[in-house]
Amino acid sequence: MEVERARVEEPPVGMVGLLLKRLRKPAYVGEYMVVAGLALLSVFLFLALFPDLVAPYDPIAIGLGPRLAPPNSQFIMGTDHLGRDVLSRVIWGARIALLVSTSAAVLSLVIGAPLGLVSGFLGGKLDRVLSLVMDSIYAFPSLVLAIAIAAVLGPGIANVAIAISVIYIPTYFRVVRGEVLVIREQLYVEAARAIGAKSPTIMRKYVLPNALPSMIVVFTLNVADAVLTEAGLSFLGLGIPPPTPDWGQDLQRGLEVVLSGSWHPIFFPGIMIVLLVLAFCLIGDGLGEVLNPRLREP
Amino acid sequence: MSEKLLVIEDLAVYYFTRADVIKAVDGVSIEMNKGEVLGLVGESGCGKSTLGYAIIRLIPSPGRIVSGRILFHGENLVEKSEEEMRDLRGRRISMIFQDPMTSLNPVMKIKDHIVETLMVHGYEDEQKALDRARELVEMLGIEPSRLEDYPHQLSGGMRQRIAIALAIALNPDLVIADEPTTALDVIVQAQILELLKDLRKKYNLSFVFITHDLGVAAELVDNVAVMYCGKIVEYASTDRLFAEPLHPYTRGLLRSVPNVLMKKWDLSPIPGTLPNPADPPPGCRFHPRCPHATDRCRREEPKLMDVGGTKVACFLYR
Repeated sequence: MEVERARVEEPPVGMVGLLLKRLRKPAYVGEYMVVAGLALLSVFLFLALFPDLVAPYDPIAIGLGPRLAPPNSQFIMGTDHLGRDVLSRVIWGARIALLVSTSAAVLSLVIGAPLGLVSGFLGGKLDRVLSLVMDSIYAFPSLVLAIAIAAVLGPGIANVAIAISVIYIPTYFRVVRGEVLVIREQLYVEAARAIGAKSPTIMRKYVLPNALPSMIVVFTLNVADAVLTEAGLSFLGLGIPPPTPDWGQDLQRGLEVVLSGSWHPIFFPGIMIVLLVLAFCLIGDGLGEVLNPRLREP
Repeated sequence: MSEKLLVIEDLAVYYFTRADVIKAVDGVSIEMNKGEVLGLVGESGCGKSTLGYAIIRLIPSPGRIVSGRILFHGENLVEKSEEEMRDLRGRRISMIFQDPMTSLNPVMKIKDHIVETLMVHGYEDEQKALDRARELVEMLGIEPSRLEDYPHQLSGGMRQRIAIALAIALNPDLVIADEPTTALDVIVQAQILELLKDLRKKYNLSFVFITHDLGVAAELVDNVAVMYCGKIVEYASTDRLFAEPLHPYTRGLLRSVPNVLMKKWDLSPIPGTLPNPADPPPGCRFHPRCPHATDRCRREEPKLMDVGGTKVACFLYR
């Protein structure tokens, strides 16, 4: 028999490779968004990894300068109510923000996604019960729930991450379960059964990888949300205990002095929060478009 | 006489929906020898696919086998546990699906599809499995380098070849082919049919070939069972069926297919539509559309009877 020689496309490089290749030469809005978001995020990553290289002063040293000095050549972003350098605090704050938000998002992914996978794939009573539990968590106002959990656990990096992760578990559960409900009806899952594959194998090799794109998108958007929630908890004094530099905490201290005309202790941490959230949102929304061609605008 | 490969006795498969009980397969009996290709022919919704899925016990929910036996090498598949069936699937009974565009996992390389199939059933050495995969695709006319590709990089015909490779990877006794050529264009269809014929000759494979295309059936199939509304209405060797169709439904089917030898274009479709399988008409299920229907047809259900070598369920031949 004649061997078919026609090549439909170039040799494959896998999903991640394909994505990277496409992003090197962005062609439409979604890809530009991802590239811009990644660029912005890499700045924050650099700050978080090497704050000591960038920050001009010790972020927790009190009385470096006069109290509440406005931005000047010595203190580019001014000083706060204790005479600490706002720039240095803002830079060191990136570390906490990234650490807490990503670990919270990873934690909820690790718990929520497998539950959604099993629940959606097996269905039945288990699915009913899990969906009910998840929906009740989801129905709770998320910040209120986070406050309650954080209040019970007490302040601290790990505790804040746990409190935040609990409120995002249902998001993963719902997204993954929804995807799985669609995927499990696909012919290739049927075909996997027809070769005699066991359910765990089908879930791991056939269902989960096909649900991955939406999980990635939800993950990035969740990190963005987690940055806000972490700042919110710290703002309320339920987050990271002082004197650790933290944007939410600095916002709260800044609020006390903003009425007396010192705008800078509240402005710069606020801007950082906005930019970091923006970075994750750009990546998330952009990836959503890249991974789902149907969302692309013509 | 040699032991039958597959004997189906009075099989009934119903779908239990909230409102109705849909009798997709209702009292079907078939026999099949090793090396035989059995065609299941009928309109969409006549139950032919359900029958195919029943043999490999993959009837989609809410369907259930209600009664009857499926004897495969003398073992009743209906009574087998899910575990036992899983061991049979892919190894002794396998399946080729209709749509090669969706029957392969989009995130798995071709080689992983084949290796996976082999490893599920006892291949422990991945290298050995890979060698077998290479041998298989080469046999099916695909360059082994394509094993590194993902499904979307292959054409429909190539994908169907891969699906066939998966189905025959472990030399099964029986392959159920559910309209394997329907989703392909005509030229590829012919190639795939040719390939199946080849494989059949080489490996003495047995197929249950499900199709609505009588032309395709004529190419490959030894015996044909014509199904109508969950029942077999005519069951004969392919030659006999095409030379001398007995059941009015079979005749109608043959008349509704264009033929190059036709002098003029006188296709005559069968009037009416398939009855609702949840509420089939009493008596012969074909009587509302049958030109020869009598009072008896409306009251009494005809049984399959042997008429000169053809089994037919019709009162015209008593």
